[in-house]
Amino acid sequence: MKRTTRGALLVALSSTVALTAAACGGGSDNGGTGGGSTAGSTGGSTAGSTGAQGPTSSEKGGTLYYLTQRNAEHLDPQRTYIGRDIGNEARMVYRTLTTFPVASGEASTKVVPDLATDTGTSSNGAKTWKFTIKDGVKWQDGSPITCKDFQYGISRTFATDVITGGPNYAIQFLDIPTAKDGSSVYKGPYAKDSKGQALFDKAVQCTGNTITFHLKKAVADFNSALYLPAFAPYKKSQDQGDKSNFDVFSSGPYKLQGKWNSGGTSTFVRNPNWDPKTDKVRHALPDKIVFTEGLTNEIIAQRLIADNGNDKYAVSDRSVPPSFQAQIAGNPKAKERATNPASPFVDYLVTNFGSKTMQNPKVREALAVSTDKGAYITAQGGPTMGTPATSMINPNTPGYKKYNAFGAPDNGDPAKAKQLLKEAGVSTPVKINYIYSGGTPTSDKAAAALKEGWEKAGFKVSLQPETQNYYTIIQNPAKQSTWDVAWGGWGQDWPGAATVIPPLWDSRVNLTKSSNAQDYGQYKSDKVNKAIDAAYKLTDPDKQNAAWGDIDEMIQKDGGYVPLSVEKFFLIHGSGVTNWIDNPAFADYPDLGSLGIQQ
Amino acid sequence: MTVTAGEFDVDSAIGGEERDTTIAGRSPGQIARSRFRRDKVSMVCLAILVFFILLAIAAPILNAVGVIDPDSGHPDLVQGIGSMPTGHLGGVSSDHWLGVEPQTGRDLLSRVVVGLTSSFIIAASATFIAIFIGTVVGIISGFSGGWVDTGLGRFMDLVLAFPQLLMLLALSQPLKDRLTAMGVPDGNTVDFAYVIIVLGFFGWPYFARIIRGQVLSLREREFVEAARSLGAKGPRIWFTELLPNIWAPILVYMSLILPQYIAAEATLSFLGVGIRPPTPTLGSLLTDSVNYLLVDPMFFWAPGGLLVIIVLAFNLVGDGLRDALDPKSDRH
Repeated sequence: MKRTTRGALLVALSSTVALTAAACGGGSDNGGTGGGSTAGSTGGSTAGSTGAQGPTSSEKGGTLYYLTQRNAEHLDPQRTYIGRDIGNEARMVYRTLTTFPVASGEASTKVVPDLATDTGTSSNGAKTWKFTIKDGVKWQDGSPITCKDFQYGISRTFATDVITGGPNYAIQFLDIPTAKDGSSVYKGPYAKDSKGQALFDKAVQCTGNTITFHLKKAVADFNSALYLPAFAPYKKSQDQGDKSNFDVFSSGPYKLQGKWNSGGTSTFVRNPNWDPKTDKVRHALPDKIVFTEGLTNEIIAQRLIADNGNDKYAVSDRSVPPSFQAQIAGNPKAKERATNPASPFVDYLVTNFGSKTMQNPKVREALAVSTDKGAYITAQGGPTMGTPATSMINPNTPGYKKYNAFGAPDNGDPAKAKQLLKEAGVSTPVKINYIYSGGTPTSDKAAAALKEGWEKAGFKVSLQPETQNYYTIIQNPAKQSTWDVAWGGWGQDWPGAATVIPPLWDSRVNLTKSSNAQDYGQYKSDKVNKAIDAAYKLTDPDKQNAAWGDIDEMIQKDGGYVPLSVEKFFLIHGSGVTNWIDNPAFADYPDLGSLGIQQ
Repeated sequence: MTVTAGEFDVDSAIGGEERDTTIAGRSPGQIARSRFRRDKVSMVCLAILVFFILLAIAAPILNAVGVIDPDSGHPDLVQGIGSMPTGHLGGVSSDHWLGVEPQTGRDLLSRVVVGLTSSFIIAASATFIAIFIGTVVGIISGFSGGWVDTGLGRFMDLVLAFPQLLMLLALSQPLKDRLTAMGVPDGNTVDFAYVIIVLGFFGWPYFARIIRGQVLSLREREFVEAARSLGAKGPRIWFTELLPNIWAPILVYMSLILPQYIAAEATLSFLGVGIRPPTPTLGSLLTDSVNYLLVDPMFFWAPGGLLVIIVLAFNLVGDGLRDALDPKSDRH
C-alpha cells in the first residue's frame, strides 16, 4: 500500500497554491448531505443547492470556459491524482470501467458502469473482480478499446520511475509479489522483464472482452477505485513514457485541439468517435471546453462576479477569496450563481514524532487542547469555508465517528493546556516551529490565528511559511528535525475511510529511508498497524467502517494529529451556464459531464 | 542673483534697527531657514512628517509595552461570510480606532503603525544607499572630467537603460537566493535586503547626474582653484571643498526620493516581490486590502490614506526646501 513520493508531491503542489485545500482523489460524499443541507448551514446566505441549480437545459452547443489558477501537472491518466484533474479528465477524455454518475447528493456516490457493461462481479471473498467491456467503444482515432489497452494502462502505474505522480492503488491491490524492500517485483511495461510481465498478466487477465482482476486482499469497493483515471485504458502505440505527460488520446466525448498549453489556454473539441449510445453518464452538452490556467483567485472571482462577455459561460474550481464572498453576499445577481458545498477535505495538524518536544505525549495533548479551530476557520473566511473538525474521517465519509478526543471546545482550552504542559514536566514557554503551506494572505492569517491560541497555553511559536514544494519538505526525513507541527489536508479517494486512515498512518506503507510519504510526522504504532490489518479483514462494510472510525480515534487520542476543519468550497459560475450541480463524487468541483451553455 | 521683494517686506516689518543687523549678518543657511519658516504649507507638512517619523521610531517600544498590539486576533469581532468586521466603518470602536482587520480581527491602527516603521526603514536605507553612491560618483565624475567622466556617464546610462520593473520581477527569486547564499537570513531579512538594495541601486544614477552638473559649475570656482594651488589632491577637494557646497541639492533630492521609495516598496510588495504579508509594511497591508475596497473600505483607506499623506507631505516639504535653498527656482 505504498504511495510514491511524487504522488504526494502532487497532492502537495495542489495545496501549495490553494487557499486551503489539499487534494488527493476526487472524493465523495456518502452521508446524504447534498448541497442542500450545506447551503442551509450558512444561514441561507447562498443559493440552495439541491439537485441542479439555476437554469437547466439539454440544449447542445456553445463554448464552456474553465478558469483556474494552478496548472495541471499531468494529463497522463496514470499520473493524475489531483481531485480537479481527475474529475475533468474522467468527464471529458478518459473513460474508465466504472464511474460516478452526473448527480448530486447521495445519488452521485453510487458507482455506475462506464466502459464496462455493469459494475463488475466479485468472487473469492472480493479478491477476484470480473468486468466485461462494452462493444462499440472507440478511441479518438476510431480504433476499438480492447482489454489489452486496459492491461497496458494499468501496468504503467508499476513503472514508478517514469509514471510518477499518480495513485498506486494498482500496486497495493493487485496480486503481484513484493520484493524485500516492499516494492512490487513487477517494474512496469518499460522494463522489458518477461517474468514480471507474466506475473502482471496473471493478476490482470484478458479473455476476449472480459477483464479479470486478482487481488492480494479483499477489497470490497474495488469497483469504486476503478473510476480513477489511473485505471483507464492506454493505447500502447501512443505511449512515449514521460513525453506523453501532456498528451491526450481520448476515449471520451472531447479531444484536445492541438497541443496542451500549460499555464495558458487550451481547447477541447468534440470527439467524433465517441458514441453517446455507449455512454449513459456524460451529457457532453458544450461543443467546446476552453481551459485557461494561471489566473489568480482574485481575478477569477472578479471576472465571474462581473459576468461579462465570455465569462458568462465560465466556471472555476477555485473557491472565492473571503473579501469577494462578502461582495457576493451583498449582490443578489451574483449570489444566485454562488454555491457553498461541503468538500471531502479535512485540514489537520501533523505532530512530528521526530521532534524531541513533540515526543512527550502530554505536550501533544496540550497542543491539541489549545488549538483554536474557531479562529482558524474565521481566518479562512468564516462559516462558508469550513466547520470545526473533530476527526480525520470527514463527516460525509462512511466510517465517520463522532467523538471529542480530549474534551476540548472548538476554540481551545488554554487553561487546561497550561495544566497539561505543567504535568508534562517541560519548561515553558515550550518552543515549537509550525511549518505550513503559506504564501497567500489567508494561509498566513490562519497560521497567525493558530499561533495565538497556542501561545495562550504556554507555547512559543515560530511560523515557517513555505511557498514552494511544501510537501517535499515535510516528506523529507532529512528535514524531520526542523519542524514540530505541520499543516496538512486530505480527502478520500472514493467513498470509504480506507482511503483516509491507511494512506496517512500505516507506517509500513509510508515510511522509507528517503520519504515519509503521507505519514509526515513519522507516526509509527504497531497497535494501529495491527488494527488496520484487522479492519481490512472485515468483509461487512458497516463493520469495517466502524473499525476505521475506531482507529481514527485511537490515533488522535495518541496525539498523532489534530483535526482543524472540514473544508467547504465557495464557488461561483457564469449566468449562461446551465445544469450546475454539486457532485460530491467528484469533490464538488464543476461537473463537466453535466454543464451546458445557454445560448 | 536677484533678491526678491518678499525678503525686504519681512525685514522691514521687523523694525529698523534689527533690519540692519540681519541684512548684514545672515548666512545663506539662515536665509534659507527663514524662507522655509515663512512657507506655511511646508511647515505643516514638516510637522506631520516629524510626527509620523517619531511614531515610526516609537512603534517597537509601544509594541513592547503593549500600547499597540498588532498581533492579537479578535475572532469575535469578525463574523459572517468572509469573516468581515462587525460594526460601522470596519469595526471602529473605542478599542480599535481604525477598526479591525477582516478574517483575524487584529487591530488595524496597530498594524498600520508597525507597518510604518518597516516602510520607513526600507525607504530611509534605500535613500541612503542611493544618495551615498550618487554623491560620490557624481563628484568624482564631475570633477575629474575626461575619460573618468565619460566612463561613469556611460555606466549611469547603462543602469538607467535597464527596464527596472521588469528586471525586479524577473530577478527577485534568483537575487534573493543569492543573498541567502551570502549569509543573509532567509525570510523577512532577505526580503528587506532585496528591496533596499534594488531601490538604492537603481536610484543613484539620477542623483549622480544632478551632482555632476553642480560640481561642473563649482570646480572652476576660486576656492577650488585656491585649494588646488595649495596642493590639495582629489579626495580632499571632493569631500572637503566641494561636498559642503552641494548639500542643498542633496537635501532636496533626498526629500523627493524618500517618498518615492515608500511608494515603490508598496508597489513591489503589491507585485509580490517585496515584503511578504505576515510582516506589516504599508505595501503589504495595501496588497492585502485592495480586494476589500468594496466590502470593507476602511481596511483599504487606513494604510492607503496614510501612504498618500506621507508621500504628499514629503513632496511638499521637498518643494519648500528647494524654494528656500535655491532662490533662482522661486516661483513667486
